[in-house]
Amino acid sequence: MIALGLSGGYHDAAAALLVDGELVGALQEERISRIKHDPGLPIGAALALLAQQGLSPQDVESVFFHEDPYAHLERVLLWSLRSFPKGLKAFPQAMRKQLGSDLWVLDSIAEGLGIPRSRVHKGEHHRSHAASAYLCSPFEHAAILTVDGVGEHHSTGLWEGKEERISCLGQLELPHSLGLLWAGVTGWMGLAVNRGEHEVMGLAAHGQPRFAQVFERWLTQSADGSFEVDPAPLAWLSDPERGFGPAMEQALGPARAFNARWSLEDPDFQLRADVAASLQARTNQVLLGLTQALHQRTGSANLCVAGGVALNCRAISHIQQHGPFEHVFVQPAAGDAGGALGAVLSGLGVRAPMEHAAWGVPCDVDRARALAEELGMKVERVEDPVQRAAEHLAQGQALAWVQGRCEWGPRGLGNRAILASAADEGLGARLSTQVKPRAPFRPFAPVVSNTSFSTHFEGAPDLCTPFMTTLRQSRNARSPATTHVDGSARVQSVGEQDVLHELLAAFEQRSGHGVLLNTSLNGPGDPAVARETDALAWGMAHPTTPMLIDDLWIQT
Amino acid sequence: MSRLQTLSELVRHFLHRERWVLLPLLGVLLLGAVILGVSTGLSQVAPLVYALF
Repeated sequence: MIALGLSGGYHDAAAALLVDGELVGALQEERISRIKHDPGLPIGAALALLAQQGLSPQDVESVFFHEDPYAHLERVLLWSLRSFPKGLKAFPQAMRKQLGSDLWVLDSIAEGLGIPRSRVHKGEHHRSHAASAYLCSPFEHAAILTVDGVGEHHSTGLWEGKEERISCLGQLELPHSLGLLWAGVTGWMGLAVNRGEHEVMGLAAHGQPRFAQVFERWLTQSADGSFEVDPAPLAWLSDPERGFGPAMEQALGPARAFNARWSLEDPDFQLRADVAASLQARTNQVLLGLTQALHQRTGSANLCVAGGVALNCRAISHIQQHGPFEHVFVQPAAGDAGGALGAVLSGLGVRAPMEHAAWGVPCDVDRARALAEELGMKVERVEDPVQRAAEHLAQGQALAWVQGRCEWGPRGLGNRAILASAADEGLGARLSTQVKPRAPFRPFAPVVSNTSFSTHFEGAPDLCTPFMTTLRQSRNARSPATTHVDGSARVQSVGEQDVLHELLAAFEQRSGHGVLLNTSLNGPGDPAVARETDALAWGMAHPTTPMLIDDLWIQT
Repeated sequence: MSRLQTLSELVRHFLHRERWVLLPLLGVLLLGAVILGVSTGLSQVAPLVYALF
């Protein structure tokens, strides 16, 4: 039985492939199309995964789409009526999108893959999220929380997973959406809605929650955990590009100019950071309340979280520290991309416990060598790639590291990475200005082996740390490039089966430091590298940083 | 033919008793979509259509 799960049509389109009930690949469309957060349909990703298994689209017996296009259209119609006349401005655009493409998404999938329409099935947005969390977890019984902007009608779901079955315990409908509140504040920060939320989360480390009362007013919570969002400061119907309205500016101050450069010295930097910290603090409280309600209803010691808000590792860390659950699991593609995986797992009713994130496409090493030589790059096959990389990193140099299959989810988890010593503050600063430009308040992420995790970070590795979906306090003042100003770090732990574990050990032996800086391998505005052509294009744009593709040492 | 399957599923979705009130609005919108499709290339119809949508 060959089955595909697909998500797309809004942002972060993705595909997941199962063969005889086993997960064999999962990939975001952006890695193939090279369009960051590609909102289209994941036909390219699906074809790439099939080709990797030697299959053709005609071999696919079932395709499961992550949501229900008819319920989606129903919500758009209902909200157009409910918000009349405020929503009139966005109505024609919404209808063009709905009737022009979204309604026919199942047909487009069938046509894109060249298969009969009868093989394509619709899913349910939040159920797909719930399945992507629970069915990829190691738990037999778990409470499941799904939180995002909006699915067909719902923004939040409380679920229980038991023996592969997922039961809905309750859902919250629009306009009460944590994701849309975050989208509004993201727009107010001058960042792109649906893309810049992680920057707001990073900014929160610099602030104090002095706007806590404002967010307590906008986001109220009942004793049963359910919450309500005041729609007044938001404008997702009338102005979806900005997401916020005049009431937000009245309460928080004028919005930042769109895409303005960040500087820690800006006179209003602290204001923005305090707003971010206030939103983060209120989000932490509300999510904690929801998880407490879930714990009471399910009695489970295990929690799975999915949906775009689940990528807020600061909130996940808060739930881990203060919540009632012994174990928390967030898989690496917790956002809409993960819906592809959830849709197919839910459609087939099978589990795929996820122990690593390397589900994408590999690099063709022979083709990489031929292409690099053709481009005039220096190519050398090294006998011991790990020792060569460790030697280079210990000399205080950065390295582009390309090994195995590309990662599933938005994070670089050590297969397509820029690596450097985490102890070298100057190198971190150079990377953040010259190699991987980013806002000055956003540190890179550290990677550390399971065995020396507790030496450098508080606590022990858990189910989230391999996927960088939580935060830990750093014990190490020597790693400013990978630590927020509040001492927190989005750390990744690696186990002994991972080649990165071997590299960390070799690096520690040479440098005396066991933590590496690890950031995804991509240029500004580009998706992470997937194949050898992407890797070599990155190498050509960054001639001072050598690249290791499998055992090929490549220098431009 | 595959579009007919979608149309059939769409109508079945909206025939649910809690949703049938949306059927007239859906009908008007689908009619508009048909007009938009048919009017492609008809310059004398297009201005009227684009004023509506």
